[in-house]
Amino acid sequence: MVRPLDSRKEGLARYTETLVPAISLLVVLLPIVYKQPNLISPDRYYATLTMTLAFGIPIVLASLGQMLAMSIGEIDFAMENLVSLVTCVMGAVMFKDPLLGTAFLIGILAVYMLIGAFIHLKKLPSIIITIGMSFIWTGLAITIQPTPGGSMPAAVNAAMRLRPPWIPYPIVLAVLLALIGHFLMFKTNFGILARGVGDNVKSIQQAGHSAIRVRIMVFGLVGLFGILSGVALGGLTTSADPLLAKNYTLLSVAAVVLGGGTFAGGKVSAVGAVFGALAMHLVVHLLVVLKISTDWQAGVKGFIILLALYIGGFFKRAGKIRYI
Amino acid sequence: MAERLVETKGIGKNFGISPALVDVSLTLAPGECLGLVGHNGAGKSTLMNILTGIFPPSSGAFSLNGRLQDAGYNVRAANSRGVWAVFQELSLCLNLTVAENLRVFHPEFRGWGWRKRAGDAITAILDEIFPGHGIRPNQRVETLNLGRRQVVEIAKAFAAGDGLGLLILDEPTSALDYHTARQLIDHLNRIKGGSIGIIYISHILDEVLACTDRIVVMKDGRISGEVASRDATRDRLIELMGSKSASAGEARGGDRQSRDLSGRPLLISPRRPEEKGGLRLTLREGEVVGLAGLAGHGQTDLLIELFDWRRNPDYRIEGPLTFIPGDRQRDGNFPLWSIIKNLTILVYPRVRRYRIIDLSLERSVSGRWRDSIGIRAASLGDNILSLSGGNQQKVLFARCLESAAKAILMDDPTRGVDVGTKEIIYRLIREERDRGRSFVWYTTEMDELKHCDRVYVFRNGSMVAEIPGTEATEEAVLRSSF
Amino acid sequence: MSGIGSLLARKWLWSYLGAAAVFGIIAAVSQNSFFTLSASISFATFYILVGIGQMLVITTGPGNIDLSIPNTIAFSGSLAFALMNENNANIPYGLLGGLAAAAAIGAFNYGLIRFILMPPMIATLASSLIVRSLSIIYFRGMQIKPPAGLAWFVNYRLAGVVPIIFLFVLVLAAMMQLILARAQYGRYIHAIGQNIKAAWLCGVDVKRYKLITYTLSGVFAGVTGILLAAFTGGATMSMGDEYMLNSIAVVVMGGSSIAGGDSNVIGIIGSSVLLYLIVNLLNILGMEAGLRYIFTGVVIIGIIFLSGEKMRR
Repeated sequence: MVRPLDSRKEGLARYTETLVPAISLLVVLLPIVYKQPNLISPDRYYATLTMTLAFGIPIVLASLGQMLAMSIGEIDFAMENLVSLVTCVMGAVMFKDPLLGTAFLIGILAVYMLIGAFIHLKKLPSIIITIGMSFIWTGLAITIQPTPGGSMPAAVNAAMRLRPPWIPYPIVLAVLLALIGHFLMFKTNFGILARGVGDNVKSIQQAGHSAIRVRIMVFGLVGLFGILSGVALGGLTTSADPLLAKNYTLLSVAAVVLGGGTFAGGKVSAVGAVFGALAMHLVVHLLVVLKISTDWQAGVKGFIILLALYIGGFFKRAGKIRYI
Repeated sequence: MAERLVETKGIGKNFGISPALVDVSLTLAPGECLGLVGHNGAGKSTLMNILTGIFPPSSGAFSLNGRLQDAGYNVRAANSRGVWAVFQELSLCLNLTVAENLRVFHPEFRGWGWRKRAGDAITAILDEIFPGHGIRPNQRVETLNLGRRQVVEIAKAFAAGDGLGLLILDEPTSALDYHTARQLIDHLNRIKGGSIGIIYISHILDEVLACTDRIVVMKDGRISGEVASRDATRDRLIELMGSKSASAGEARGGDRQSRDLSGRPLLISPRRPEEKGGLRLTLREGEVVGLAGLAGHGQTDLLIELFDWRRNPDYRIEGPLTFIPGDRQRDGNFPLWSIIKNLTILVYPRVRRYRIIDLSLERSVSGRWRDSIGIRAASLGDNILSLSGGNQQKVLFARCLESAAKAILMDDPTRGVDVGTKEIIYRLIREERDRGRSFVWYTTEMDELKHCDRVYVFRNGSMVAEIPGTEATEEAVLRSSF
Repeated sequence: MSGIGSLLARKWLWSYLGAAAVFGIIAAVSQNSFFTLSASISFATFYILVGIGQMLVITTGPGNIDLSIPNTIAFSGSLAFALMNENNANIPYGLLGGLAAAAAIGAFNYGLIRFILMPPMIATLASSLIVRSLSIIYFRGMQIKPPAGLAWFVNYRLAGVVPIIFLFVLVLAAMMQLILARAQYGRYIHAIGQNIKAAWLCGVDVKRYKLITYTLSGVFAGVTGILLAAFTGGATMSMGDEYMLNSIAVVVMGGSSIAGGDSNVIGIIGSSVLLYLIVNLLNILGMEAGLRYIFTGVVIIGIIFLSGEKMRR
């Protein structure tokens, strides 16, 4: 039982929504810059920034996928398993047999679209189906690539190592992805309907739109972004590993929430999610820079994810909750 | 242009066993503005839901522009044939902007530059109807207050432009302030006589009188009267809305008697003296207090606040209380459980030995209730959903009455229940009252107020009048709630 | 006819039929099938324990799943062994410490759900990262053997066949069955799972019962951790990992509703034996870990798909 916000809080929420992810990114960036002054040195910034931010790109892609799922009030719990599986498909199958590899990826897309139809027809929360899927993806990954290894197709490696002039590649990609995500969610008919389904399915259906079609398309795109994330991650590491994308599920959810998204109600922001994803990536990077012992890293990561979820949700706290 | 924009012929609608609409025939000409008034459950909204394609009628038919509507008629079809409706329950998506909402409902805004075109269109309409509205088309609806959302909802219907044939306004001003409501009525008066037919439903009778040509009064699913607006008065309408049953209530007034309960202990009393925000409720032992007024004006919210008695900031309450819901599926039943388990959830301390529930005790408690109030079930071990609605409601009553709670809150407990069950429920309430149990009873049925010692009338979220039970006639309640 | 029909309508029966069938196949392809069965029952014991804890959480309604179980197992097992320090006299302290820690983790999980308002699966997964880190910091590389008394207990077999911990868990399961069916706690969590608002309107203190439930799930994982560590000769960081999937699998296979409100302890016993027999069979047939993952995932989704239940979201 949740009551609407009072108007004062509402106004506050509007500002914080855009500021929170940006400020979080800044807060994380400052100590990194302090520790790695090369990041702002005119001679070295290009290489340092590229190195620091490169591994943020797969997280950005996964977060955009998660953002799509959350726009219709769902969560993809199999994100990290999917991304890891895709690195294995790239490393173990695509490398040898591009046709089979492509078929594999198309099959994954089809399964994702089926998930969309399934949750619509069975009225099941996706979190339950996707946790089942997470084991299937991991099982497949272990089967085709039991241990880290394999080799990526040269084109993928090359695609992740472009060197545009002046602006480091990861920044170019992040900006591009933010624009694409924003365009998709806020400029296209599909994006409007998806967010509409997240808030008020009944109205959307009464206006003559097919909710099942929207859900299928959304999950298709979740799968697509997951696949792109896997390709990017594979290209960066140049190897396949069934556990490569560890924690991506939580990181992507935290990124979306930090970026102004909510678990229900169809509220998402693509730009916010990209900021959030980079912030989450840099936080993890910060742990390395600050030489936090690897023993502590998982725990600190968990704590930071909880903190991000708390901060992201803080200004959207509703009034009186009588039971949960 | 067809002579008749809308013509309904003998439309009826049943929900389960209870008829919501009986043989309704009315017509509307283009350019005409028809007022539709009546109390809760009179069937106004049911009729509008049929016209807008939300559900089909059970019997009868209707035509738009002389064209008979077929089985495939739905909201989309209604929209494409020019029927647009504004309901109290908003259809907007809160997380979308005003312009995006327009696009969801009006597919013609597509292609490059749609956002600008949709924004311009809605701004033009808003400027025309509600000058000074202060709404920007790229604003998310959730950032608007309730009144402005309603304004957007109205403008959304007008955005159909030339495609708008029939406009249905169902309580369009309930969330609007006086000034904005006035703007809407002025606009309706301006467009009257054009090509658009308007059906205007409101409980604010002065508004209906101010903007309509003709007023149809509904009661108990039927049309109970029709008057030309210029000849009508408030009193005349209220009389048409309730006259019949009011006299029936008078005739059966024998069981109305004023009981002096002032010496009994208070179970619910306000923590602070009354404020300007309306009356405060009190409840004494052995008292039945009714909550009346139009549906959705804050009665259920009050019951929930009272039920959460430990955390209630406004009232001093002697708990625990129990709660009998009207919406059984949503608020009452445990759908996977048997009748017995549904019935005993409040009284485990009474049916267990050594902290373990004794199945035979549980069964005998349930059996006792089955015999005393006649729960019609093949076996008490059957699933709760195998019972008819009335029998499910009996189980919910048994559940609460078996508990030791001194006060029972009832949220329209006879909703959708057959007459026989209602009589049993009334008898139960009388018996329990005489044993010292207290009831707070929200009801949408005027007839039931005669069982109450006192009645509070709600309007716009607060209690505006307190009427002694002996004087709680339908007319008195209607006067306070309109 | 109707007798058989109503028997087959009992969802838990399928897991027993399945277990019998799989055992039949194992008997056909392997020589010492009874040894396999006996070993399977030992390992199935741990599935039953975590399965019951997971089932309690799942019973409280759609979306409630405890994903912190694996790390709770590792942490509480390690903590208990550190406290016991291979000394029989310290067993009570170890048990108490391990279980208290497990209970605290469960309560912490509900605190996150309640106060940060996040979906239970996200909350429990995030908290399990923290628990894992704590395990690594305090207990990594710890090679403490179980105290002799505990090791004797977990490995003792009645008549050389029936593991005594299996009997211990059966008694525990019987108690849980009684609590779920006939105690206020059990009835209340079923009510919450079926219709949370109706339960609240019946005066059920929803928050309190959910807190108890998440705490209990932690405790069951804690018991598992201690017994499992004793059984395998010492606590390790990864000893709980397989239980994330399997705890959910045995609940679903045992006939409990993944949507909550309907629990089934008897089914969990059957499905735990079934699941371990399947694991064994796949091993015998030379299938690898990956295929076992795929198989279990498909079974979970398949059962949800076939069960025909539609959820109230």
